[in-house]
Amino acid sequence: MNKKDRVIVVVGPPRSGTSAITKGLETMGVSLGNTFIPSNIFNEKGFWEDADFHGFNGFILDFYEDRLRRILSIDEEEATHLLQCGYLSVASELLSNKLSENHLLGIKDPRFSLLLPFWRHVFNHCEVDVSFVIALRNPSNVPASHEYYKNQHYEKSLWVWISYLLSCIEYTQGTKRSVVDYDELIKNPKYQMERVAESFMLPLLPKVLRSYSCDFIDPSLRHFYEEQASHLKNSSCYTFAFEIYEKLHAVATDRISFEELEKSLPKWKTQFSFVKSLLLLEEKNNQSIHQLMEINENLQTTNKDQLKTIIDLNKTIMEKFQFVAGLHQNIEQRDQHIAFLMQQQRGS
Amino acid sequence: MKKKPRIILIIGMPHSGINLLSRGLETMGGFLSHIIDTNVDEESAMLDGTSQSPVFLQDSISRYLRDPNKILTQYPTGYSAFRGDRHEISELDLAQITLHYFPPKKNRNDSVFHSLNWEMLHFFQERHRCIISITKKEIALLKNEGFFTRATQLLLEQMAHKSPPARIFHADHDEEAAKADELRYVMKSDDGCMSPYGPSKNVSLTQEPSDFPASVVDEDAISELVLHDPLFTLLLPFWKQVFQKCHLEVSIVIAFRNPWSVAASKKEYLEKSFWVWISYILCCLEHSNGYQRVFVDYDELIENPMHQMTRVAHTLDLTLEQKSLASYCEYIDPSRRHYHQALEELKSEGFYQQFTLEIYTKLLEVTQDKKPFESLKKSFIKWKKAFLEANDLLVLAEKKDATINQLQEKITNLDESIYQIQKTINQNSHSITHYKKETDQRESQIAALIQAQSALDKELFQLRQTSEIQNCLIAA
Repeated sequence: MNKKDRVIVVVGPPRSGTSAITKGLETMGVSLGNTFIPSNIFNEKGFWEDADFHGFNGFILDFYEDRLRRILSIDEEEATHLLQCGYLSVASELLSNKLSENHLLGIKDPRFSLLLPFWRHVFNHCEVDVSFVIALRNPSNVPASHEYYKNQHYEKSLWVWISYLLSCIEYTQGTKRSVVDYDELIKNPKYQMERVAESFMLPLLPKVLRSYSCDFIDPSLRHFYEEQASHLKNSSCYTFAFEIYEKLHAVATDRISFEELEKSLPKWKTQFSFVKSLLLLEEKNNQSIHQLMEINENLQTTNKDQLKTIIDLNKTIMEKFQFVAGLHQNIEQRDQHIAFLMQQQRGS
Repeated sequence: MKKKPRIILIIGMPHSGINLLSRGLETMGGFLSHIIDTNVDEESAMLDGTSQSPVFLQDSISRYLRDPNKILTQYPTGYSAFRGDRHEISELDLAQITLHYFPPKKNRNDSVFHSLNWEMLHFFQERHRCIISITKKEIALLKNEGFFTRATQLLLEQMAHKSPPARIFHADHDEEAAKADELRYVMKSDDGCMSPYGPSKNVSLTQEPSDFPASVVDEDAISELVLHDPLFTLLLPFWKQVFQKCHLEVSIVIAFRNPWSVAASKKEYLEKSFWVWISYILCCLEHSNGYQRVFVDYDELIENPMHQMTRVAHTLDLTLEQKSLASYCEYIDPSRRHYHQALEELKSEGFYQQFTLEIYTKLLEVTQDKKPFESLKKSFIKWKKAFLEANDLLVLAEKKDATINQLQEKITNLDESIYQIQKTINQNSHSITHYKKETDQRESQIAALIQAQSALDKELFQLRQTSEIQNCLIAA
């Protein structure tokens, strides 16, 4: 591995502007690769997410069969277990392949946030210079966005938001990192890219920056506004999320340092640990539902196949029945003929 | 001063020894015929043996059928009719009211309360109500659906063991229903309202048509009743209102058990089991407030049933029957307890287990008489506050439980359907084999017939030839 290889990882909760930030990395000459997962109606401007990293992250998250790992980050023990199971070499190979094409690589997948304890080992092992951009969005807007797209439980969306960000804060300690607030990015994309470039000591490409600021970033990208989630404001979860948001926003607007922010981390972790068991239960329930839906689908297919078999068998039965009826008729005709002949013979 | 009739409710989480406690209550003067077996708690049933009632109870059954306290009736509107008595009922202008008597129940040991509780908990379909107690809003919904009237009538019906309660229908409102119930009298009042307790109306006794049918119970017929069902716990805010309307004294026995043992005996996610435990305990603490109440720990009960029954009897002002108690103590066998962990051995992993351990330890101190019940008050406020933080995620867990249940039901139905279809396929395959066999047989029959026919043809041909020769000879 080339010691000059550098990776910039965009982390943060889903629907926090990770895609827009990732695209912005191109203004610093960062390559995002060329095999992206396809855009969809939820993100028409593209996810800018490398399909191979996306696939690999999904694969290791599914390693834990008892839970649908989409809320809580893995812990150190689980990360060690993954390393022992041989995933270190797989991840390292994947990273090396990508870096062989581009020595300054930008990768994004919100699920990196949950897998940071594992990926930290991979980055160390590959001896790459890793930096993190933490995407931040007002918690009032994130659940609303979630709700709109995925019909999620409001409160749960907030806990997911908290879980992702606590993991990002904790597991990016000791690295070069920057927080970018989504609303600030929409307001002034140029300034935000300049901030990131400065903290990562990367030169900006003026032409690309202009195109990004003027053409790519569009205020309409901010689909949801605070007012829409106002009913959440009385919940303790919202208060907690907002406390985290305010501190992170202060970092994003350069009012406080990361060190200042980290002072609150132990308290937040304690507060979070109270509901951790319920989020774990939610992951387990989701896994059960996922498995049951799969079974249900398989059974429905079997059921459909069986019904088709029954139709075929009924058809065969009908054919056989008709054939037997024909034979009956045949026998009857023969019997009549024989009787006639016998009668004739007797007459003779 | 007359004492109000009393209901003794045994509540708590499933697998906490509720059935065992209800048997224990029988040592306090023969509640046997009044204990409604509303629930079969697997764990307790295992320990109880779900056997026939022990001999020690038999001698005390009849004495407790009589209760000096009197209750006449209650109305859904809450107007008390305690002041009335049997004479007043007999003086009622029966021509003005519709009266229908409930058929007497043949078997009192039924599960009517459990069924009603189950129905109420399943009324909220999008959530599998197994964790959180019902809210005020939900109580209002239940009332709208008529559950309150049903619960009240059921309770009175079960309590009035000597003479069944009467149902009073309002003529304008319920005439058809009343007729369908073979009513005896129909009232037509001028203003659409009625007073069942006499021809002279006054405001306090006037009932709105929507309040009917109401129940009327002979006050002499009411006596104490012991009910036990874990489902009462989550529905306690609702039942409290029912008890209040019925003007009943309420005593509550709260069964609880080491949460680690409960988790070990249940086949569900550990996290869920602990949170259910916390929720049940907090619900019991909150909604039993203001009533005569006593906590009983399962392990303490198993280890020293005599002491625990004495505690219960003392708290509930009941008299223990020594002979029955001795039999009960003999009946309890600690060796049949499958899961048990001493407090000192418990290891709490994670915040939720620490939280559980804190509550459990405090409750044990109370049940071991180390601290008074009042000592829990302060802690309760703190616990409740913490619990509310988790409330929304617990609602989510209930919703997910409902989804899982629905999917499991779908899968069971599909499994059944597939089994039936497979059966049909097998039958059809069998039919095809049968038809194939029949076809083969018929084909060989036909072949034989063809052979026989050609033999006959041949014979016939020879006969014709012979006949022709004979005819020629005759002609010659």
